[in-house]
Amino acid sequence: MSGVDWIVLCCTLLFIILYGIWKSRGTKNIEGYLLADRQLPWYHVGLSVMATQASAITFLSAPGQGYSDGLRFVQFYFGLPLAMVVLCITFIPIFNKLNVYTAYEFLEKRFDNKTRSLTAFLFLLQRGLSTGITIYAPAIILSTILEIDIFYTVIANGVLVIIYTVYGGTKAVSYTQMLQMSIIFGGLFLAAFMVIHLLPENVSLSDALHIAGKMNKLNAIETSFDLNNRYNIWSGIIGGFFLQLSYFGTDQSQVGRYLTGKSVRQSRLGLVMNGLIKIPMQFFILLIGVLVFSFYQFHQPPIFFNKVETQRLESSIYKEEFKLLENSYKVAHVQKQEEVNKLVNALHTKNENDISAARLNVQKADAKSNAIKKEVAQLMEKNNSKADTNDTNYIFLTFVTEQLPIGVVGILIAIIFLASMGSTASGLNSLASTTVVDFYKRIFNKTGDEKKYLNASRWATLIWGVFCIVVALYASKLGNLIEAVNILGSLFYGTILGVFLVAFYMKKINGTAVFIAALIAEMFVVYSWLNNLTAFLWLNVIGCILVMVFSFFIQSIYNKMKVVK
Amino acid sequence: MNIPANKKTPFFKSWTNVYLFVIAFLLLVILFLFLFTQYYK
Repeated sequence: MSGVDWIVLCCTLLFIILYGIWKSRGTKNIEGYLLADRQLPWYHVGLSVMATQASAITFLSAPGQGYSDGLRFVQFYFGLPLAMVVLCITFIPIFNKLNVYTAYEFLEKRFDNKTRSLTAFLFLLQRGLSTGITIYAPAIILSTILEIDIFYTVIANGVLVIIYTVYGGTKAVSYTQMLQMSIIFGGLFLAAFMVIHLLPENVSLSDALHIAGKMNKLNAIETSFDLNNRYNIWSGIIGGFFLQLSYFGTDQSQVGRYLTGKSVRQSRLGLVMNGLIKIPMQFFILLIGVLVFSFYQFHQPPIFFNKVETQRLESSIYKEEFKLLENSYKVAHVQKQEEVNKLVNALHTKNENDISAARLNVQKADAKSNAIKKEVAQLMEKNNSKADTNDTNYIFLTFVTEQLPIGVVGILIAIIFLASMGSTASGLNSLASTTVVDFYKRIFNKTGDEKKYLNASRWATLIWGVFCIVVALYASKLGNLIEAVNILGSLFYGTILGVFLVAFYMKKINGTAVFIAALIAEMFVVYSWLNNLTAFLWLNVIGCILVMVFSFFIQSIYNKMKVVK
Repeated sequence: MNIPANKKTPFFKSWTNVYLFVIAFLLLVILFLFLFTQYYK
């Protein structure tokens, strides 16, 4: 990365931090610190909710996924607008009416202490680890691409967020997120423009899309119903609905965002905005990846996008085999390029027979290249059983740093940092809210004044920030931690959502019934996961429905026993 | 006789209409994506 890019990157990050601190000055009480005095307008709420969900991995992984797997990931978000509607109708009015700081506070008012403490504890456990991963995941990729030690990327990312989140609380988080999202949107449009601009002169945007389409990359909708297929329209609408409802309705990092709305109306409008923008945004990010794929049909791509892994192979006993594979890959690419050019000519002449024939040849040539890539991955595993053979996350940044002009690279690296900062800040803020409101204020210091609680919130944010940095620094040594954290989330979300839905819609069920039901349902979910019975999106549906059904039966049995006595 | 003017409530004044709009928008997006997939196949 050039000096100009470093200046652009540093200035952008510095500007964001100063803006956050300046906008949040004068916070004097816990409501101001944790809920921005409940004074934010709808567009703040909407952008803040979006920035919390969109971590750096969204902007690194999604274009890579578009490149390697096409558009089908967009279906994952189909349930989101429906979840927003349910949140607007049920969750927002109830949380506002009860004037709660955290989602778990509501559970004590509706059920009892133990249900509140259990859900708050599960949240702290899951969010604490996953916020650490939110820092670690982009840091490892940025360290590879920028060729600097991961220690510095983790520290830079974590410390910058801690500075403004500890000082300004929710107000700083929300104001910076609004600015971050604006820069991110601008950066994405710039990236899309640059990819199109870099296509060969005789290849238009429409041609690029046709090429990608003929190579099965524009598979946005899959209608076949398959419980083990992660992304199809049904898992997206049904599984996605339950996942998004549990994430937005029961995860404090999101609940804390829309509780900052000036009124019920402003909070609702913020979520409606999220419901309308999210799918088009995700489609656009994936499409950038698809266009990068089309770009690499005319330019030689690296055989493997993660340089660290290829360097390891180059210095191993398998270096000769790797060299041979690299040469075959180059030859295969030249052949593929010829076939792609024939396809472009056929598209220009609009001759259907020529197009079909060219399409078949392109697909054959592509399969040959992919087979060589697979051999490389196998070689990597042979050399090092712990090698990371998935290079999806490295595709977009490799394209950015190798193909885009000076200045643009700095902006696009900055948006990765900004996205990471946005979701990390929300994570820290929600961890502090839950620690102070659900535990400290209730158990350790019931009669403290506003200043004490404000100080406690600042300390909690700082301590959680340090904890997350430590998790991020040790994540690489713990191997499968990322996978473990993701699984932890999907294992608990459905059950916690079930508890909330019982609270909202099944008025006759008490705390003990729902508590026992949650424990039994959780065992079923863990059993389904251990035995690979279904794709992970469906675990949310199973957990949620089981809690509701079991609560109903346990309460009925309990009522009958009471009558008999 | 004074006949009161037929006052129309703006569409987005009702939350039900807003929610219906969100669902209709989702269906339109899915339809767009389906046609997009078919067109470039």
